[in-house]
Amino acid sequence: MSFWNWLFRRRRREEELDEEFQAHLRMAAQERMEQGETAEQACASAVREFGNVTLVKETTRDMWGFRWLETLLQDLRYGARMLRKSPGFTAVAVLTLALGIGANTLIFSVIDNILLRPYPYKNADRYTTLFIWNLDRAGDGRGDLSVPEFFDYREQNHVFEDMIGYGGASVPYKSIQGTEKLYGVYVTGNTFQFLGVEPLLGRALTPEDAKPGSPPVFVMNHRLWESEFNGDRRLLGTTLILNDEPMTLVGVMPPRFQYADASIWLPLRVGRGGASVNDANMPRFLIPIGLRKPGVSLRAAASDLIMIGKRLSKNYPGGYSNPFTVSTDTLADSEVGHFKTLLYILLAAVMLLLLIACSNVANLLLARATGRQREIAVRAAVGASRSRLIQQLLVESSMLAVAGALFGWLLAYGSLKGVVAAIPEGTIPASAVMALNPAVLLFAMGITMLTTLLCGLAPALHAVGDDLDARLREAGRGSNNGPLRGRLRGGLVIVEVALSIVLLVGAGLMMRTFFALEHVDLGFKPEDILHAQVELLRRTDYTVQRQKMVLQEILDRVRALPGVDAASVNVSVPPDFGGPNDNMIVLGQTWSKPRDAMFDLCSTDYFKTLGLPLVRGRLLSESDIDSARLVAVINRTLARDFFGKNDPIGQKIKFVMLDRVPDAPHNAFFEIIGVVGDAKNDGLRNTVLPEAFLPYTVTVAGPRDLLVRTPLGALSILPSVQRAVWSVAPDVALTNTGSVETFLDNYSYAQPRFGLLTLTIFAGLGLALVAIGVFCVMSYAVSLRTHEIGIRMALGAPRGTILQTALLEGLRLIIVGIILGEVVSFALRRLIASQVWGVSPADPLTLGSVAVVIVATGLLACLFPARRAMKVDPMVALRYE
Amino acid sequence: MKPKKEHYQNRIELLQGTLDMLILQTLQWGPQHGYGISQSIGGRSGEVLRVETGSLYPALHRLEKQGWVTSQWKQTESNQRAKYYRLTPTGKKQLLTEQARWAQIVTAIAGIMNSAPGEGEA
Repeated sequence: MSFWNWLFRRRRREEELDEEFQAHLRMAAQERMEQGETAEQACASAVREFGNVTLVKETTRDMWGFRWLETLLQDLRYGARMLRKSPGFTAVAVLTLALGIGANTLIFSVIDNILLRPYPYKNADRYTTLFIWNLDRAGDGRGDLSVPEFFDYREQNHVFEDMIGYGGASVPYKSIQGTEKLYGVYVTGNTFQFLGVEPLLGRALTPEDAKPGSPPVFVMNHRLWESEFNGDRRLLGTTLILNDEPMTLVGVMPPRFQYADASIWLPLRVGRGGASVNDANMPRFLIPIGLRKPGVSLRAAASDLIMIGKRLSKNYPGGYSNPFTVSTDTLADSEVGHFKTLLYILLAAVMLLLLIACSNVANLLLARATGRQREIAVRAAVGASRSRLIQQLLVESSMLAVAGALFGWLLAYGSLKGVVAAIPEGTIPASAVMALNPAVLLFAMGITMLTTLLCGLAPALHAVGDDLDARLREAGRGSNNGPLRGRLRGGLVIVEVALSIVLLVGAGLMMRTFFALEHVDLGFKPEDILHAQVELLRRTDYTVQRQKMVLQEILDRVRALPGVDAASVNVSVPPDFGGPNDNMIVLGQTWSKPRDAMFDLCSTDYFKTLGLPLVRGRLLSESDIDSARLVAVINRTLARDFFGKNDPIGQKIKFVMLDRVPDAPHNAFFEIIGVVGDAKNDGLRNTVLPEAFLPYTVTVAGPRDLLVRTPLGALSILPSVQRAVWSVAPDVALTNTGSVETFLDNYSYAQPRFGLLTLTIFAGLGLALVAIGVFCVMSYAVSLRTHEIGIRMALGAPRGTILQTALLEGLRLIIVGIILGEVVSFALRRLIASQVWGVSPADPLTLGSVAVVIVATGLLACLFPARRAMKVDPMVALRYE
Repeated sequence: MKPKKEHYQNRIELLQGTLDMLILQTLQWGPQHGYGISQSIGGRSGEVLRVETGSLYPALHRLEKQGWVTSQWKQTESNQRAKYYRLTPTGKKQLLTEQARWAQIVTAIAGIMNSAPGEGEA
């Protein structure tokens, strides 16, 4: 049966019912008339005897079924009429709820897309990463496995369905223009089956491709295919010269597929025996990812891996310390874990915002319900049951919530792009797609229903709560402001203020943190320094001598460029990435535990480039560098930590790690020749680690960093530096280029700035809502008391006193709210502690200034209603009654 | 809305479910409209039982939905249009079950009420 059909039949039955009752009344009246009553008397008694016609109709209709739908439609019509009648109230309520629901939808969609479904892979929630910790040295360990070790773990574990591994390498690509570098990732043969993503074009890599001796093939990233090859489909099946070897392109992956952030994926052509492992171009170490069997916990996986590690530590003694342990993590957590806490804090913040919005709307509804008591009392008197009235009021508030939700979703949709742009680069997987997906909309709908109940239930219960008869009698006479109702309104204001205090404290702490970070003494000048990583080809025909010469020549040419103040090669990018941190030994001293220090491999101008001041002794000289002399400059922290008050100059130190580097001098002690000032080398937030600066010529191992100081601006000098490098060696690529200041910004400031920005916006919105709430409640309170104020004025109360009374009343609520909010903030301080730095989470300055902000805002919001109270004309107020 | 109905004090509130039986019983004698049914029940009980419209009409519509009665618009003796309810075959069967059940209840209650004091325990 169609809806219209149903509606039509419904109307017919309605008419019949009416007719049936009319017939009843006529017959009853007629009988009475036959007994001698007058027509009028008879009609009146018949009606009286029949009872409440509407109520009888309703109970009869109940028998037909679908009654709920009918009353719902009726309530909706009625609700829409009520809301249209007071557009100001409706607009404020809908916008308030839109802010609350929109902010929640927004943050939930960010969380959903970043934390819950960042990858396009099959079963990605069970992907597991592992890390082997060397427990003899805090924070030390590795996340990669040697190729044979990878196969051992893959074959011996009981917790993974399968394991894949990858190793990144920069792959030289010979194009017509010259040599370029592509970031290639070598993957084990089972990788693409494991990930379960269909290629956009061609085919993915198969286990066959990974067999030694199979024809060389590769698969391309969509971004590279679009940007470098104009998305040309004919490229498929052609050969490119990669690693000096012709390789066939067999597939292009879809845009969202960004596995291991590679530009191209190549098969790791090794077998169990690892025949090709010694091939210079192949990665020797793999980062593994396991797919946990369903029902296996991370902890269970870790303990199984530890068992295997214990066996393997005998075969690969260098790879495991004693004791060691293996930890596991989900892939998502290992990539975005650091961002998780901040996102959850933001979720808590928007929940608070929603609560503020709800209490605001609840307060508005409460005020309206008081204005509508007469209507409600009349409806109850003509037979509307209490549950029926509550339903009707709830339908009204849910209409507000749904309208708010629609606007909120629009808001969320509009601001999602802005939030995504504000998320610091590199903190989230490239494959995460930000969109309002069905899960997010479902969440938003849940939030909307919650909102309806939160803001509608209390006023609705309240409206029909007490004695309706009494209210009907009183309602005619204006002000009926029971003490209970006043208390509920005041309570809501207190809650609102308290919630916004919590939000403001969060934002204030982020502000203080950001300020503290910006005022950290770096110990060097980060402005105008260009950074580039220099990758020398690990080609077999490059001798150590040849590589040293290439580096030396690159440095000389760059230093000779016009506009370059200083340039150096080294193996660090301060302040976030120091050199290797390893066991250091001082000749003639012993400690119970091995102690660590950082070392950097520098050229002479390193100190000049960064602006590090010499404190004692001398810096590295040209001849120290040229002859790779065993000398070291140390920082102040190393001098203090290792030598205390003794003079470090002339002492000899050794780094154990160098013994494991083939071309470095083994068992070599470096003589300390100078001490320089401290510069941050372990990130902004951590204390400076002890560090030594050695001549870079002692070894050629590892990639080198080029730092160039120029007053011309870091990025403008990049092209000429590039040309200088290519003039020395055309096959050397500069990667990871950028200004040191930008690095600093990305790694140290971006995330706190994101937290500061978002929390401040939410706290600001919360504050605005509180201002609106206080304003509405105070206005309402004043309008209720117009009569009373009129009498007081007529009796001679000065206007100043009236103003003061009104202000004090508002202030009292605000103060109680502030105290409550500060107590809650103090109790919650641990939740935000991980995001706060350089200031206590219970910072008195923050707590204090937040209170001042709220008091100022609250007073401002009270001022207008209070002034209106002051301007009440006693004559008008008294006549008004 | 406190359910106080003091003006019905000297009338007997019908037992739950009895109204349906009374309606079916009344319709046994032929089709009747709502007003007629209420008058008939009142009259036969010597005005002791009184059917409120608020119970009567919901009951009639319920019985119709269950298929025990059907309705039809007809002219009354005084030439007015009224909705007449008539017993269906299933309604007749239902009436028989209700009658049997009622007889059981009456005997059971009478057994308790008429027994001499102490007799029950002996």
